[in-house]
Amino acid sequence: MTHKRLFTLLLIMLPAIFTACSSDDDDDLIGKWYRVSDFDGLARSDASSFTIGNKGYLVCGWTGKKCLSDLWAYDMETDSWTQKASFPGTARYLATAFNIGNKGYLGTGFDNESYYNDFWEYDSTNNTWEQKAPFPGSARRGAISFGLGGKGYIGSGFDGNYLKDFYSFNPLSNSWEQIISIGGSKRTGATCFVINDEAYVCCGQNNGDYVKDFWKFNPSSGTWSQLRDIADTSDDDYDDDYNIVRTNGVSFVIDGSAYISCGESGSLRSDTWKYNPQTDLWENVAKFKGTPRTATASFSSGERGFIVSGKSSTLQFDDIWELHPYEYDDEDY
Amino acid sequence: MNMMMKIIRSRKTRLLTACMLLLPILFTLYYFRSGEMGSPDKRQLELQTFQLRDGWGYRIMMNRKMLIYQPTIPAIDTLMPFPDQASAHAIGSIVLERLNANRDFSITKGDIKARSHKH
Repeated sequence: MTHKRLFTLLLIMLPAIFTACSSDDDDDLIGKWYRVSDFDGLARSDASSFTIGNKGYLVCGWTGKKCLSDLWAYDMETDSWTQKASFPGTARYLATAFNIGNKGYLGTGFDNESYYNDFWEYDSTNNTWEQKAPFPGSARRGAISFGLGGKGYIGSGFDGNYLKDFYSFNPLSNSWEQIISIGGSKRTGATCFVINDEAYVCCGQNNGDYVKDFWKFNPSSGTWSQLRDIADTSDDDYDDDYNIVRTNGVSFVIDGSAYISCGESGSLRSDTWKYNPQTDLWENVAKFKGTPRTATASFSSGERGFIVSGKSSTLQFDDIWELHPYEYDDEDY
Repeated sequence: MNMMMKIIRSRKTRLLTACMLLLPILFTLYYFRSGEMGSPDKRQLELQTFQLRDGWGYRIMMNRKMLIYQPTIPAIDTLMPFPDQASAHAIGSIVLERLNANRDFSITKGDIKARSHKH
C-alpha cells in the first residue's frame, strides 16, 4: 500500500477511531442519567439542599462572585421551580442542611470572611424561617448533617482545622447535645445518607488525604460502627476495583440503596457508585452524564434522586440531572 | 488527453482528502458541542399570570414548558399570592427580564419592597 493510500485510509478511519477512543467503560454499567428542567441562569456551587416529600429545596450557595441566600423548591412531579422565602441569615455557601418531617434546617457555612454556627429552621408548610439555638460546635464550613428519628445531627467539617465532633439537635426542646464523635478520620467535604433509620458517613478529605474509612450511626444506641473501607485496602477481591474516595461528592437514596457521584480527588469525578447496606458492598454504575463537577447539591426523595448545580474549575452549573437506576444508556458519553 | 485525466484525478484526490480532513473536524465539533449551560439564544420565554382563589400568581414558560410556577409572593415569609394581576405581572416581568439577560433571576426582598412602595 502506498503512503498516500494509507494516509487516506487513516483519514477515513479517524472518526471511527475517535469514537472508539471516546467511548468509555460505562457501556455495561446499569443506570441512565436524564437531564431535566435546568435552573437556567441560576448557576451556583456549594449550595445546600434538603428534600421534603417530592420537593427538593435548594438554598444559599456561591455563584463564583457572590454568596446567595435565596431558596428554591423543585417539584419532582411537575419538573418546575418555585421561589420560596429567602434564607434570612447572612448569605453563605458550604453550609449544611437536612430535614425533619416537613421542616428543613440549615446551619454553619462560610461567606469568604467568617465561618458561621447559627442554625435556622424552615417550615415548608407556612413558608417561614425561624432562628433556632445556635450549633454548639465551632463555627465551620463543609460540615455534614442528617435528620434521623426526629432529631437532627451536624458534625465534622473545617474551622481552620479538620473536625470530627458531632452534635444532635432536638427540635422539640430547641436544644443541642454533643454525641460521640465519628470514629476514624477527621474530615471535611464528606458525604452522608440515611437508609432504614441509620446514617452513613463516608468520603471527604483530611489534610489533603482522601478519607477511606466508612461509618454508620445508629440513633438508638447513639454509637458509630465502622463498615468496610471504600478503597482497596483488604486482601479480598470485592474492593479491587473500588475507586470511591473523593471530597465534595454528593449522594441520594433510591429504593434503599445509596448512590454517590461527582466530587473531586485531584480531578473532577463523574463516576457513580451504588451502596447496598445489606451486603455493605459498592457497585460501579453509570457515570454522571453532565460535565464532571464538584460541590453539587442533591435531592433525594427515597424513590428518586437528582443532582443539581455544582462547579468545575471555571464554571458554575445550572443544570439538573436525574438517575434512573434500572435503565441502561445506549449512548456513549 | 492524458494530461487532462491526470488533472481531473488530482483534483478528485484533493477533494477527497479535503472531505476526509473536514469529516473528523466536523465530528469533533459535534462531539464537543456546547449544551451544558443554558443558551439564551435557544430559549423562548413567556410570562403568564393566573388567578387563584385569593389572588394571582405567575408562570414562566421556557420553550412552552413550565420552568417557574409562582403561586405565592417569592422571597418573603408568606403563603400569600399576589393581591392583583398587575403585581404578579410586575414581579414576573422582572424574572423574565433577568432570564433574558441571563442574570441571576431570583427575586429579592428589595424587589418586593420596591414594588409595594410604588403602589
